Amino acid sequence: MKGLQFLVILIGALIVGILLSAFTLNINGIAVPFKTFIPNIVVPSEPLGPDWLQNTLFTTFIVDAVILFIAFLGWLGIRNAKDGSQPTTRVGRWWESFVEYLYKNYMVPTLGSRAKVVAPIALSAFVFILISAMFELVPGVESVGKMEIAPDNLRGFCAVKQGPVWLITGYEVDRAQGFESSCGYTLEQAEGVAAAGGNKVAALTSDTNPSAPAVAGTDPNVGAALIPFLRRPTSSLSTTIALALVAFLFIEIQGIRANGIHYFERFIQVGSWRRAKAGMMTGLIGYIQAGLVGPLELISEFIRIVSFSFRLFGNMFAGTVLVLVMMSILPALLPALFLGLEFAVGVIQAFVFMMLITVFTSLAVAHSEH
Amino acid sequence: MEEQAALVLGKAIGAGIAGGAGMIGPGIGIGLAGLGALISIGRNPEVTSTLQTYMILVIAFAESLAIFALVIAFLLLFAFSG
Repeated sequence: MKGLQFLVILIGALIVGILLSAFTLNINGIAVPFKTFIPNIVVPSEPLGPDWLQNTLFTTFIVDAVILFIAFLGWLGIRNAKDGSQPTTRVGRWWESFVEYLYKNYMVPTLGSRAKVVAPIALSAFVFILISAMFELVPGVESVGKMEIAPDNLRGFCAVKQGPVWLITGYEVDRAQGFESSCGYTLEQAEGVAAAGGNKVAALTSDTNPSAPAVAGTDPNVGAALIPFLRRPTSSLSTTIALALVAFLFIEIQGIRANGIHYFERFIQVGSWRRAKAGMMTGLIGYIQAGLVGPLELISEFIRIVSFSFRLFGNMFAGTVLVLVMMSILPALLPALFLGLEFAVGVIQAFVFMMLITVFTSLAVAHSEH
Repeated sequence: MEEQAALVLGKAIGAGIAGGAGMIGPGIGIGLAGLGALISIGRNPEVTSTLQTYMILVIAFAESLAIFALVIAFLLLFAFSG
């Protein structure tokens, strides 16, 4: 019986999905066809108003607020707990078990007594990456935003105004043909009620440049492009590079604090140079090792910034594109499966980031051979 | 117009090759990591939890190469406007 119900739901969702992929709405007296489409895929983050307020930065603030809120709830529970006893609230117990699990199982075995120093930054990175990956699952993220005229390098879409909001129909404006002949409805119809006095720019004027025609549809040759209000921070390369730089600097500082000036010996290989000179290694091989290993160590140290940042960015951005493509194939059911996959990818990437900070720190603080 | 077509063609072919060929090596690598971990677990089932951690780490390393290829494909497709 359970299987039958599941099958019915599955087939129903498939039918709904197929029906949803192309439909027609009657808006302001015109029949506007909608269809699913792959939106413009933009790699860098996009500005919301002023240049410094990128949509990923805005979402970073929200992510931070969420994390601080949960942390505050946890602190309320832990504050009242006596030494060795459980936190008094559920969130506090949740935080305790979360931190304890990662700390005892993964950080202490790798780092030993130094785990106490590394835990705050590694676990913070874990929480930040996890929460910002979870933002993919919030409805409206990356799909609700302000509408602007599509720039030259992006596709513009026919948009139509329904009440106070604009909807993208999914049909692309052919720049050679113009808005009206590509979309099947006029600019006035796209504006909703044809406003008296030619007040077309009322709805969507951009704040930064009011004189520019910033309304989707007022320019006859280009269509609308969406700038989402919320976009996951980790799907922008700037955020991941910032995280990677923090991790890199932390690892280097830990290495210097543990080994002092001897930390840099692994990059210059004084020891093997001396050994080669003293004849402890056979001839040329000793000198080759002394000359090559140091620079290679140095390069591999800096490559970490690239691999840290690109791994995270690539996973998150690829997830976004994957969900968008699946949404264009079947909008009702298919994205849900891949959002589930995205959940797993977010958890694994957060774990990997935390684990890599831990492992690299343990490599950096290890005593170099003399 | 022909230049535009050639640009689109080049982008599509380049992104396809970058994405497709770049996945071969990491695929082999992930398979080898899983193989090694499974053989070890089969011989010595007590180490499962320890091995899982390291297996995920190694897979993440191998996967990051595939992600590099994917990023290059995306950059070619969406950010390259030569």
